[in-house]
Amino acid sequence: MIAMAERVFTKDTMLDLLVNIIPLGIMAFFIGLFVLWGPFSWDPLYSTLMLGIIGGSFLLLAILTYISAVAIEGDAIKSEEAGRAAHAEDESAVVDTAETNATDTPDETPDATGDDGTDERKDSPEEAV
Amino acid sequence: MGLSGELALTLLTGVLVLIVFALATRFDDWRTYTPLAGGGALGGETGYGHDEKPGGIVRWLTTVDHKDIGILYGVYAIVAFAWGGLAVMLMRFELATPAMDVLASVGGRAFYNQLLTSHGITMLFLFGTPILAAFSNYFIPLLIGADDMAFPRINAIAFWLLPPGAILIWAGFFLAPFFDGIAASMTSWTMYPPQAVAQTAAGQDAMSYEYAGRVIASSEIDTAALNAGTDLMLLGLHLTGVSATMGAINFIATIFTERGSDVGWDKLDIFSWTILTQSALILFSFPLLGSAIVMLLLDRNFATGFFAVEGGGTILYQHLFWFFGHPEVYILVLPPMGIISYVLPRFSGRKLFGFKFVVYSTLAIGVLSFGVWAHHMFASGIDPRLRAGFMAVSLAIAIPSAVKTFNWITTMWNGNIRLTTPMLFCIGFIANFIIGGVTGVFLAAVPVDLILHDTYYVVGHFHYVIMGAIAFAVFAGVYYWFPIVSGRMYQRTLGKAHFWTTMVGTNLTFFAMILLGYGGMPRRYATYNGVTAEGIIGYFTNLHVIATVGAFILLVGQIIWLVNMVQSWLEGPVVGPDPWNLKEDGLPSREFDWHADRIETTLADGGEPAEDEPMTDGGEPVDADDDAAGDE
Ligand code: HEM
Ligand SMILES: [Cu+2]
Repeated sequence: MIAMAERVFTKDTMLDLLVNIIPLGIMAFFIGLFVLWGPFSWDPLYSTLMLGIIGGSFLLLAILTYISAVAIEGDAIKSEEAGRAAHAEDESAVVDTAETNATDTPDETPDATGDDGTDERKDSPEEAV
Repeated sequence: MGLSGELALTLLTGVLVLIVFALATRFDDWRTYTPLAGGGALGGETGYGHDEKPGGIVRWLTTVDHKDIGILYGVYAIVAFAWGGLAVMLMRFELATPAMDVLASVGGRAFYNQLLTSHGITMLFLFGTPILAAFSNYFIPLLIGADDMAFPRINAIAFWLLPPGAILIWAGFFLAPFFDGIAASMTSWTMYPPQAVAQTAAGQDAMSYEYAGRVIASSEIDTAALNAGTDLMLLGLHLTGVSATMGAINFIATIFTERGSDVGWDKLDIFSWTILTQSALILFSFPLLGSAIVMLLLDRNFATGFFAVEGGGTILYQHLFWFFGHPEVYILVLPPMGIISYVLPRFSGRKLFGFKFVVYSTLAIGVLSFGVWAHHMFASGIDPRLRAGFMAVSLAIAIPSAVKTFNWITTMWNGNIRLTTPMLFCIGFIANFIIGGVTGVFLAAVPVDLILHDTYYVVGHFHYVIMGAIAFAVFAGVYYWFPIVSGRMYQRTLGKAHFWTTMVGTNLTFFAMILLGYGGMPRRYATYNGVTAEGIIGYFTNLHVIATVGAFILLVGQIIWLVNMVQSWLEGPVVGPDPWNLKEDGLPSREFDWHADRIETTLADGGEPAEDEPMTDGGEPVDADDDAAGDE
């Protein structure tokens, strides 16, 4: 698990995650601001709620970001490895696993997202070696 | 005792849920109990071959094919769009002059309020969510390589809950001529108590009575005097909520379990990501709406005190409603963002810039949208510390939305842009979304909101997003996928006319509203004579006239669209396998691969050959040898 996390959270992944790290930073900033420089007096209920709503959102976002990064990058690593294995042995190794794929064989559907601009490295196993 | 008793009960319920869950998972083969689910289908066609379906109306009543259900959702949503649109046209004509005139003979202010309520609820619940379900039902299984939805029959049930929902929601209008005590609801889409709990069919307050010429407030509701139209609307709304939740569960199950083996999480397309996030938002937020509605119904009909001042209070309702209500706006905007992210690159000649950015920011929006709800309640007198907390999260959520905007712009930058009709709508989306988003960020700042709350500025803000962005993305999707769904190409001149009327109409109407809001014009009023000092009434009138003219242009544009769709569906030119020349740009997509496969299969079956006339809306004619590419 830990080894997996290490492989997932590379510099590239962290760069992709920047879009979520910035809102986390904004929320951390506001927590700091309100704790250090709260414009309103402390109230056990409302101040807790105020920090709770920011802190709760912070936590949930951090957790989801972590989980989704592991899912996405984990699958990317897996398919990269599968691709490499297929390359080494036999093209059909990957193709054969397609049970539900109704439309096309994988190699004919170049990149299911057709969108991935940032991560060319994922699509070219040769490069990754 | 009270608190620990409740805690014990809560724990007990939790344990029960776990037990049920554990029992359910023990049926390891449970999926086979849904007849027709998955499996069975061979080859390229997903689901069931067209020839196996019964013909005519029976086919549409009994279908469990995700593509048919998608079409049903689409038709349903368009009917709702027409209803909501016509309602608002009447309102706009009324607002062109300060005094009550156009609607005076048909019910005056009360009728205006009925139209307002019906417009809001119809557009959000009967048009917005269903039209997105139309796209997701038709395309998600194709995009992820599934045979059909995980639960095809639940899919059909979810759709068939909607027509009764619409009938109930609109019932007040149909029944009013026949019953004295029933009128269409006048609660506005937010249904705030005490008004929503205590309004009579005439729009009066059932919590007050007249005595010796004076209005006396009472703590008791005169239940017999309540408007049954509101009860019907609440019941209908409940049905649509159940429908949306069932659909959401189905999409989550489908995307998690039915992906083709070559579609890992890293390969999932952006539209599916947004639908997955949307479904999660639906799952966590619609139950809140459902319970708030049930409590309203109980307060109205069984004299419970959930939202009575001496009970839970009216602010409780606002918390419940907006805990649903804010996620709802992202439920409506995320899939359109997905459509834009999916379609825009295909006419920019390059892949989406920063695909992963868009995925992660979608997820971020999904989570954060649950931490901002009270920004709708800044002016309700809640504690300033609470407001500060919600302001902070509201400012944070603006980042992921802005990131997407930059990604779209960067995708187009130096791209090989083809100004087809879907592309025009994509670009219009971005332009309008920037205005809608920026006005939203202003509103999220407490001091600004306290001035602009409940003015036309808010109306301008969310219409820039809902009409200017969400509807634009819907149109982009409709034009982009029209060739797949109908097998034909639309008329491109009419498509462009539709875009320009919609773009001009939207900006005339809603920019005028932003200015009206700055002037202090409050929302939800049928007349505005004497609202403010004399000088400003001319300013209001002019802007309202501009907004009405814009709305009229919008109406004309939508009629053009409807004509185009119906005419092209029936007799448009038949398209080839790659109507957008996607192969040429190296931007193929799964659903068009499927489309090409289907054409091939039909040809092999001896169906009519497609006219070998490649159709594209790109402006330039396409060489015929393009078609050959699809046959390799
Ligand atoms: C992205 C799509 C968005 C949609 C569909 C949307 C929709 C809406 C709607 C429907 C309302 C009015 C609710 C009512 O009837 O009172 C509203 C109000 C509001 N929106 Fe948005 N909005 C969006 C984005 C944003 C953003 C990005 C922000 C700021 C971060 C924002 C901040 C607000 C605020 C503060 C209000 C309350 C204004 C008031 O009532 O005083 N919105 N929005
Ligand atoms: Cu909101």
